[in-house]
Amino acid sequence: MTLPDRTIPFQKESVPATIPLMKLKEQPLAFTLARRLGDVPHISPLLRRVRQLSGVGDTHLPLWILRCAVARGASHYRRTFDTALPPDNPILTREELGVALCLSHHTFDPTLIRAAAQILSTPDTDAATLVHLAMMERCEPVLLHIANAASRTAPELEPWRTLRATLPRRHRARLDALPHWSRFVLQTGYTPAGRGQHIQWLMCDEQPAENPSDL
Amino acid sequence: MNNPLKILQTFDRHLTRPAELTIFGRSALALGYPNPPGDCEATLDVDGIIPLSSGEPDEEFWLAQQANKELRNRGLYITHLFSELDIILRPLPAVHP
Repeated sequence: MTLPDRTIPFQKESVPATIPLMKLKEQPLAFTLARRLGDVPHISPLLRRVRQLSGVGDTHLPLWILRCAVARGASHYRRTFDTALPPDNPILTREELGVALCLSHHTFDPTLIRAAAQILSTPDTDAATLVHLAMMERCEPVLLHIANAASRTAPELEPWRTLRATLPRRHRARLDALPHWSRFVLQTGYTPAGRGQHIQWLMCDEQPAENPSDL
Repeated sequence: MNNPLKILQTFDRHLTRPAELTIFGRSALALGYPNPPGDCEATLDVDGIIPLSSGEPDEEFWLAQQANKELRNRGLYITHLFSELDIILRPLPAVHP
């Protein structure tokens, strides 16, 4: 390390040390999910894999992951995506996609977490694989939050029941930033039968999108 | 079975040149101290800090993470790696009766 020319004498107890005069530069703090959770992001192998499979830079990476999720059944979050975004890459497994949506490295966007809930709510999801990947990628608090939300309206639904039973709870995070349980469901105030509430967990839509640019 | 030892031996086998990693958490207790609490050796992962001097993990380091595929059938893994910029290690607070 090269010290700058100017130094400040360190006078306490006449210790002949000097402190290099450093110019503090304000670094913009990214408003990530990790910051909302009060967590520290790790160096994620999954994030690296997603970068490689997509060829997309970090700025657009969450959008690409969301686009993949919509293409595979997170239909509730369908929108018009930028046509410059690469198409879905089937090499990325459903479990990897779901966990990638929950990575704390992304700029905070609750839609990603809600899309993860929908894309993983299918019998095609391997619960054991999801549990292991969630632990590896430090997503336990987010996935447990979804799993607990599912317990209100669909307590038997997998993979959420397995996640509640097997995911460790040692990893603590602030959960108040995560979507309210009502954001993972469809609910009505009125039904054809009249007044009354009908609440339904948002399941993965097995119908593929017809127009790739309008997923 | 000492899980942290198994994890690091597997990881080491996948490395082709030396890499520096600061171990912390239960795996550090299991490996660095005599008579650690029983659950330390049973931990499923190794938490590590990549020193600033090592820079960003290079391709070779990432390839060594293929060790996780080998560890998968035992439920073990080594993915909780942090940059030295993000982690502050503190001693355990003194406990007074």
